[in-house]
Amino acid sequence: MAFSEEQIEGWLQRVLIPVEPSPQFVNRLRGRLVHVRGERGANLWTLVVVGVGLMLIMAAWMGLALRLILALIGVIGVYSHRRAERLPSRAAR
Amino acid sequence: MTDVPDLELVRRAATEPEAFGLLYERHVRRIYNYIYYRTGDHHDAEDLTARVFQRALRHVGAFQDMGVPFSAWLYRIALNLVANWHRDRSRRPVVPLEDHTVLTPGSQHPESLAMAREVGEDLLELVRRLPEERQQLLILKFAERLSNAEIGQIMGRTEGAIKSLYHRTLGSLREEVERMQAEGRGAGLEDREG
Repeated sequence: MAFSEEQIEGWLQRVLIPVEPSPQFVNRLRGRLVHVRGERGANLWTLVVVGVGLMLIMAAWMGLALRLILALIGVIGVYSHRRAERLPSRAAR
Repeated sequence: MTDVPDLELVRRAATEPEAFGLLYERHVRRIYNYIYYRTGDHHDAEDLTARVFQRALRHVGAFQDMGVPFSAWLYRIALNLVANWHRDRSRRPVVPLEDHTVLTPGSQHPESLAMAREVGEDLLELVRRLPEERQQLLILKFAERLSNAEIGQIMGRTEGAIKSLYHRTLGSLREEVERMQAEGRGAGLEDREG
């Protein structure tokens, strides 16, 4: 039995009909996509805050370290100065 | 904002969640429809549709207007994901006709419902046996109601190539129907002749 292309097309039109997703699925996925986008935004801000915080902590730590080094150098300087003062007086005796 | 063209929304979507939301609303049904016919299962169609839009959301900032519409870009994501899905499963899709007819709003009339069931089973079986690109073409043409030019943009072919592939596909379907009838099967198709 011979069929024409038009007949085949007619059957395909009747069989392959558009199918709709459930409204619950559409809404749920929309919410999830917006949530993902929101989370991404939040993550970016978290990253910025953590980065800035780390930089401040590092700067504060470096300031403290610099002060400690300067204090140590000062103590060493005072000690050396006193020692140098004592040595000529011993020699005079 | 509902009458804003897709490309404008795509440009905004990288920074405005609402713009991507509108793009989603415009295209989710068609993408789902395509995936449903390629997988034959509502749960798989939902899962893959979600993955399509999650991937689109991740890469929407990189979308460039190269003359291909945003919808074609989405379909290409869907095509790739469905191809991977089939590769993973390494089995042919099975469209459950009960679900199919119940969930199609255009077939609520009892007569068209019965017709879809009768003719559909034989024809869908034949469509499922076609090579992947021919199945894609038929689904995009009939279930998605796209023109040859639009299908060409999605499948990366010229309009002429799609037209030619379509006629070859119809020809091979016709041969299959005739073979099926010669073997004494496809009664539903025979009844609907003419």
